[in-house]
Amino acid sequence: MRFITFLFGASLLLGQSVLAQDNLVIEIQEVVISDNLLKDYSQTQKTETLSDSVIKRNSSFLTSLLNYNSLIYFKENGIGGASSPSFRGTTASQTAVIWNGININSQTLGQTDFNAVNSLSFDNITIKSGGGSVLYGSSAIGGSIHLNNDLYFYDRFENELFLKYGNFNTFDGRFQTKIASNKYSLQLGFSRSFSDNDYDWVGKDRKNINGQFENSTFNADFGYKIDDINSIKFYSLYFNGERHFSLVLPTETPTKYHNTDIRNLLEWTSLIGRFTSRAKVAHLFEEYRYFPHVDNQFYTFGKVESFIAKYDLAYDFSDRIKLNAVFDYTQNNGQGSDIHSEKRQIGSGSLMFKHLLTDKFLYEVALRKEITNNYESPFLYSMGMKYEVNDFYSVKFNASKNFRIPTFNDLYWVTGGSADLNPETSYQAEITNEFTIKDFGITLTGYYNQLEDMLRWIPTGPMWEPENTEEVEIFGLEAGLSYSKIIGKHSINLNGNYGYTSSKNKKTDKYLIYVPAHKGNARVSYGYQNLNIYGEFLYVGEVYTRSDNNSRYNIDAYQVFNLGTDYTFKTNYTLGVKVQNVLNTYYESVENRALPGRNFMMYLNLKI
Amino acid sequence: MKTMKKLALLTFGLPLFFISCSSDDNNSGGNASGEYANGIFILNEGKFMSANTAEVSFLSENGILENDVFYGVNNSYLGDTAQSIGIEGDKLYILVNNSNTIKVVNRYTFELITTITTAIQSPRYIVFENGKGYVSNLGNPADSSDDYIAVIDLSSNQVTTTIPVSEGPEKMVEENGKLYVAHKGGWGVGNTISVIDLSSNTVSTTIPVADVPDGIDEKDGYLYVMCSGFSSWNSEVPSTQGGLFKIDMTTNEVDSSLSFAEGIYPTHLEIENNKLYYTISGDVFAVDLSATTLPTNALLSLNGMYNIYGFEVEDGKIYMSDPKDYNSNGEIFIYTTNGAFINSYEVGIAPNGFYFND
Repeated sequence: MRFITFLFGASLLLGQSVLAQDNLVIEIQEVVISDNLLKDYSQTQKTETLSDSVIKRNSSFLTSLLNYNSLIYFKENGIGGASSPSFRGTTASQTAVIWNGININSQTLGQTDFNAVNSLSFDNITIKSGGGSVLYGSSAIGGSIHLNNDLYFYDRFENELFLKYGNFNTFDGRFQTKIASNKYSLQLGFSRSFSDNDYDWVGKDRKNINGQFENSTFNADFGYKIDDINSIKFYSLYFNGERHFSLVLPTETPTKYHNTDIRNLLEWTSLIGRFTSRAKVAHLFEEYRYFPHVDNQFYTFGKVESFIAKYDLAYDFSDRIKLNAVFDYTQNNGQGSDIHSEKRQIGSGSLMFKHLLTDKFLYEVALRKEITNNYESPFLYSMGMKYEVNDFYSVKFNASKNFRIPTFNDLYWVTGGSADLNPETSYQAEITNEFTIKDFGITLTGYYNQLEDMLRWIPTGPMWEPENTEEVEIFGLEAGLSYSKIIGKHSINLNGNYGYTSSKNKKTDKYLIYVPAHKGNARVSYGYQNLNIYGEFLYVGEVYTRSDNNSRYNIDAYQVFNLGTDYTFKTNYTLGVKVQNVLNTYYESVENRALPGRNFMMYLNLKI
Repeated sequence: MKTMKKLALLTFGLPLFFISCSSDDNNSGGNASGEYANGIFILNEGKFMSANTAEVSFLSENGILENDVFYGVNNSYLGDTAQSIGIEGDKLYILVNNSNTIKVVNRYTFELITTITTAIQSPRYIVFENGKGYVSNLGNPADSSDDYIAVIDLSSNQVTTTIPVSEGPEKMVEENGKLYVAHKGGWGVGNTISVIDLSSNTVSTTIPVADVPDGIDEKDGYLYVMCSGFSSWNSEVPSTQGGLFKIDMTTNEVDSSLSFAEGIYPTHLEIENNKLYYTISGDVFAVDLSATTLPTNALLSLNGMYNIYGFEVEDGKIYMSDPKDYNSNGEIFIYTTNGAFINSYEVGIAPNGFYFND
């Protein structure tokens, strides 16, 4: 059946390793994800998927996971503090975060705080580099992060408990249960993390003060195959977190931040001949509360409720030619202590076309246009191709126009918000070369990105006001190396990345602040039977912190090593320990926001 | 600063946009042996939520500028967001707003004497009288009813008492045992002048003025108050007009007032040689104290400047500062009171005030 094979293909593409069953019956182990565009129309760009085991070895915050496993730079205000990305030299609101196919960047801020997402709540996380606004809408400029929950359609009953505890009273825990047959699939999960986060600053007579945090996530995902034609899927997530913001200086006023996200997504899929119809409705709720003093009930807030209706109709002309038409309607209702209550409506239509011209050559073309009364929305496009030249070399090319729409704050902030704004736009192109030589994989990517109408809040007399003033030119090089070998009972895995980024404001001829020219990371693991030893390495080059590029105030480059080991008993429980920052290096990614020195954690994963 | 701080706090509640940095190794090379007896201190506010960018620059009477004076002398940083300076006796007091501290230094050597932290929360300005310093404090940002004036005993450098006032106390003038406090409003919008009787440390009178009293100065028994007016972008909340108020300090009644046109938001107020100086965006205006109408033409214009951030008129010269984007070095400009350019200098981040040491 086409559906089954196509879903099975999806699981392979996503690098999802499906657990082997003990029984000898060969069955199709079907895994379904909701983000169909990631699978179908992202083959001409660089994507990498992080598996469950990589996710668990890292801290539960998305920041740390991606810092060690991607070239995205993070400006992190201490562990657990506000954290914003710079993906390929772009700004914090130019990275899109996609939850099961739905863009979840904050409507008020335009960005996702990467320390307000608990990465344990997802089965896999895919990093897609480069423009993706045609597929995913606003903010997919530097790239997009895809948080996916899988639904399994084969007989399965599995419970998993994961517990991790470390220095500074840091706890991460997750319990999940997966129950499935070939007819239905249910996954329930609960994650909880907390920490006193009161680490000493290495080599300084100071501690991290007021840095404690806690958060809980509950997710429920359900799939049901009504008949051979129709199936429904439901994804639901509830997140609630509270973070104190660590103090720059001990005498400052302690503050805290509370945020809640509730997301529900219902999808109905029908397979009718060569047509695949996907109707989706989603409801998203986001709220933040900022407490300017931790001991006081007073807070300022912003909240947005979004309703999204999406219809995606795919037609397979043949096994080689696919066309999708997607219609999307989004309504956002925002209110807050400092923004006008506003309702925003956006409609969009897009077309995507993919053609496997030969077994070795494919191309994709995608177009999108939005209609809204809030701003002038540009026509977006993306085109790409992939050519497998021979067994050891293939090349990908992609060019696209992308955008980032003004946020609720930009448009409706009571003192300064301006309704007269345009989206930021990006024209970009990239080329990726992939080499496979024996057990080695090498990728080399070059990209160019031109950003126009960049939004900036500038002082205009007594007020600050956003304007579409800036132009930024970015180019960069990325290199990746992977090696994987199994010899008898020994296995070795190596994964390394290096990125060079140049991101310059064309008006001032100065580099963007908080964008390092160099970043690199690597993971190495060695396995002998059930024992694993692994190491992680991170290098972040120096960054400017001042718009005039006064280098006296740069943040120094830093490197961090982590070491860990784990042992799997009886195939179903794993016990591990990890030492982070083994060399006890002082480092910070934001001035006066020291990150922790050497610290230990141990973890236990139980499958029942 | 206020707007910026609000924006930063509220936009994210977090410092994503206004975070600062530098590395501890890259220390500045200030001139530690400098003598600061004759010249002008320029206070550089620094970046909000940054521990090492607030600084003091010194312009000597010979026109030689020295940046990073505090670090150069004391080998330590001022703190987060320096708001204002007061000079009294042989001491100089630097109010560090977001750090909730006051740094007390010797006004001639700039050596740190002590740091006042107790009972100081979000300090704004300081004035002196009779061996005491009076500091306006916004208090806990989450509480609009806890704003106060802290009274510091200058011999012990301790806060001896606090005087509760209404929300948003900022600049002050002391005259004849009375403290006149302009309430800009803090997180809200203020429109009053409180009069505090310093013999009893209580508010004796409240004088209504227009919204956002930004500048305040005294001359010959009259208090002059420049109100910026409230600039609203919200169609549901109307903007208000700015105004210049003249208050009789014997009766504490408004003697006369002049209104600015809608959409004009004047800031600052300095009195020099019977003339009153104020600014609108990048323009400086001068008007006779006896004038009954406001001038239509600017005395001088700094083209391209959004906002004259620091402003002072002294001995025939006008001192102005340009904070630029608040994330790179600012610039100061010196003109004659006739509007002729004298000089300009590059200083630190967000220069917000000039203080004369002579």
